[in-house]
Amino acid sequence: MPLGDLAPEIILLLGAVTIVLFSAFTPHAKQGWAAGLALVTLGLSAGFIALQWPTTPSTTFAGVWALDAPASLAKLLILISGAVAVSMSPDWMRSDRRHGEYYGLCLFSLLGAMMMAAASDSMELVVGVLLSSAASYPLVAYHRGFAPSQEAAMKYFLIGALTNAFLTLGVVLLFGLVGDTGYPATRAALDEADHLALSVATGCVILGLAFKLGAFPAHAWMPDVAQGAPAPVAGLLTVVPKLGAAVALARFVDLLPASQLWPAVVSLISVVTMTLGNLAALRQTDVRRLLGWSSVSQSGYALMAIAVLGRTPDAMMALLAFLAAYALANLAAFAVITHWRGRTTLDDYRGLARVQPVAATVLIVSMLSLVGIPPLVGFFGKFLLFEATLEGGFAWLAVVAAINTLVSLYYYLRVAAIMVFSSPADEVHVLGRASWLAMLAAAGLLLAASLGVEGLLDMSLQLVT
Amino acid sequence: MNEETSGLVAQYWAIGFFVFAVLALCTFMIVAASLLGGRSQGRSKTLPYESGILGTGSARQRYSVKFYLVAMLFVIFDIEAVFLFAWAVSLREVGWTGFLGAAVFIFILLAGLVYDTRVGALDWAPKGRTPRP
Repeated sequence: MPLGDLAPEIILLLGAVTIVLFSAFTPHAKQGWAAGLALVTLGLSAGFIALQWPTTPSTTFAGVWALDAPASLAKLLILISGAVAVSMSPDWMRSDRRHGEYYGLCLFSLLGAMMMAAASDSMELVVGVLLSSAASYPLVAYHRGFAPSQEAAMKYFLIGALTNAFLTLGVVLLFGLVGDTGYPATRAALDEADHLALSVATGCVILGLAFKLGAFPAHAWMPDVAQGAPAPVAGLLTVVPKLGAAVALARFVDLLPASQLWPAVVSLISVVTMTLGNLAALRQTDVRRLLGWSSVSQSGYALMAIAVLGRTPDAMMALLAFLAAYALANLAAFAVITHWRGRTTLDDYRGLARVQPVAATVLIVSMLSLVGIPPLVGFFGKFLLFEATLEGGFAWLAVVAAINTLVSLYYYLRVAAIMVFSSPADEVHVLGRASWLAMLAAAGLLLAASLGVEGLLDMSLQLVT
Repeated sequence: MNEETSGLVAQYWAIGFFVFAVLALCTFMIVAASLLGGRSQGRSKTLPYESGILGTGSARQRYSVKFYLVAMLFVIFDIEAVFLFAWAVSLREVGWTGFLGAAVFIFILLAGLVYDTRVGALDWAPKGRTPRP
């Protein structure tokens, strides 16, 4: 078996195990070294992905893993997001008794998301989803004495347990229908499958992936996790599972026969998700919760590209470009919040633009990128998304998304207005030098992507097509 | 009613009758008992029946979290055994690659066991050594 094809994943796994052992034998003062180990692991893994960039789509390990450009691009994005989240963490976690293991759990959760993105087999998909979920629950509950964190973790766990059970049920039904878990065999056999049973299986799988995406009807964990989890974890979990699940969902719906009407189902979920997320975010008085609801609505936008998959060749490209822009902007926003010691209520953000001009600028820029204001990378992501949606013949979906974008402008700008136009309440406590650097790095990535977006788009267009 | 439906009914009517009979029997037992049965009140009648012995204390006792820990560790290594059985029955087919895979799997779980020992998850006594230096 070609072990080299899995080198990025194997490195990540070994790195995670090493970190767990390292943290078991190291005194607390030196546990921050685990962050360095995690970054080295992520860098090595990303290096291997770049080295073996697939020119033609293929599968490996008996057809279980897909080796194609979308998978590699998604994996790279997952690793970059993971690196940003890891570099946000050392200052935040320094006083925690379990500082070292934290990075091991982060890497396991990234590995699960990578498996989702590359799964070309429904059992592989289940394993990826379970690994990513099981590693994420303890991350959310990492501060055991902090009640909101416990509440968020409990909600996350309960919703996750339910939807993962549905996902497994769907996969088992699918296996019963076609007698194989591999995607190529499934595609070939699905035309003769029983329609009702196939619809139930499809519904279950979509529900399971909607949980990881943070899409309706399994979105309820997202705002709680964004609010209650440690701020670096909130940044990680609003981004990374979404990257994996979006690609996994795209792969899965691509298998289904036209009789399943999946574009209608996905576009309906997309509309409900983006509208619900935006309406709920409108009245939030808590910035982290607001960002949580905003990530729900961003999942809705991402689903637009999945709805037009197969109708236009640009859909996959648009999906990945949008996700990349979203990931960078959301991580930059959470990096600022981490640097500000995870402050939550909107009132605590009064006048921060005067006291903390650089960090406040980063937060405002990342929020504008989330809306999609032209010079920033978020605009290009959304532009490609709308273009693909229109090309795919879902004009009404693009119109709803445009209205939603206008609505979202209100709540993002409200935070900006409070930071700029109010007078500061009291002095601001910030986390430390490392979190400052991590925030600058996240902002630098966002700006670099914005400036170099033309080149990046050309390059990835060549890679994907 | 077409041919196929009547065929289905002819074949499976007994299942329908069985479901009906179960529901009817349950309803009959509950309703008849509530209509015919006698009732008596009393202080000791409302106590839980413990074969004639008076109950002591609440049933909602808190017990040590260690019990859950044992259960979790058991499940982890039980599942390890499940996977190893699957490997064992296909030992000849999967060859050295399979052996390597199983070895990696066992070593990862071993790392978990080492970690558990180090953080004191296996110290059953109430006050063991301090988990972390």
